[in-house]
Amino acid sequence: MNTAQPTSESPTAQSSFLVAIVVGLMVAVGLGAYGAVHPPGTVAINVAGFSSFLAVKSWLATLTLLLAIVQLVTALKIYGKLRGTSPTVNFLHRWSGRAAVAASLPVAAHCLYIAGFQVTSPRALLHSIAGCFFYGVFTIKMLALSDNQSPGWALPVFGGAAFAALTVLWATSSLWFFTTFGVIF
Amino acid sequence: MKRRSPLITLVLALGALVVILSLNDALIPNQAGAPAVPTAEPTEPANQPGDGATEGAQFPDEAVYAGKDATGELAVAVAIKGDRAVGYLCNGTSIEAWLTGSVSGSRVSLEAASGSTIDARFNGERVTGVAARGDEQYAFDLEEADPPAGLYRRKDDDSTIGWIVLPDGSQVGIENTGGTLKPAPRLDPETDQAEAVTGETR
Repeated sequence: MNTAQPTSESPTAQSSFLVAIVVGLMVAVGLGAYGAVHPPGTVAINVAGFSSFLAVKSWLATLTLLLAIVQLVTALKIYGKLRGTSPTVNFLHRWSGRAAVAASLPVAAHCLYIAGFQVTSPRALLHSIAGCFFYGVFTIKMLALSDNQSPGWALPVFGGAAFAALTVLWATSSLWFFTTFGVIF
Repeated sequence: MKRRSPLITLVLALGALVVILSLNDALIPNQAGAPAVPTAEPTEPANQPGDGATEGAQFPDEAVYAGKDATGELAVAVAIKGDRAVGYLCNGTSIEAWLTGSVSGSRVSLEAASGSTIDARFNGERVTGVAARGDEQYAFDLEEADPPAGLYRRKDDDSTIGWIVLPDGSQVGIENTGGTLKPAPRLDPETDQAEAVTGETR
């Protein structure tokens, strides 16, 4: 940036934030299109010790949600909304976030590959939309985070949206699995 | 000023997703070389593997494919004639659905009035895909069911019976009387009166 004191109102800051939003939208739409167009797969991998890959997914998604709760708490501390800031809070926020996304990836890949974008039931439709939305929001948040000229509201809004989307994703998958089949491994 | 670590996280995460999906396509033989779906906008999946490896095959003009889903609970049959298709899902006691649809290249898509769907692909020998019924999904792998195996139906004034006779001779059927389902009587496909369902049966 060549301006000495850029503010979030400056045109360059606005346009780079706009780019972040457009890229995020492209990620969300791209995932949805992949899910809708790719022929459904049939081979479900299983992991030793689990009854089915749906069980594996349900537990990985639960792990993701737990890490996302760590995200929410540490974010509230970073923004001074909770008392007890410690020097480790930034570290914890960063690495719980990376771990959450890493844990979500096998789940998302399995959903996209085996099931695709599903409109057969309200649960599946809501889950499909929330899944695409989540990775779009995650993209915007990472891009906004890398650019310190993005508006101050961007991180709380997109971070909060990512957390909300994950909650919906968990409720429409793991919660459904555990209430349908029992809390099984 | 730019901070790089979130960008690295982003690139690694999205990159890993693309790699997992591409590996699936490359490593699972039945899935390789899926042609783009002709019915949808040809937004090419980002990870088409190399051409020619195991291209989806053209369906024969007329055939019936039958088998069970991965759990063994549900029998699935798909009958093809020309570009038309009929499918039947049946667990022999309490679940059944008749579906109709169309063939497009190596792909067949069917739908029932109830909203159940079948999406499958032909690899030159077998038909693999997923049936969805409400919240449930059933992955299946069907083989060609030459007579006496196949898909059969008998319609009376007040009831419809559907049978899937599997290539190993076992059969699964349901008698539907005005929405009340019960296990079908045993069918002898060679002597009993029943209509052999083709892709054109409606």
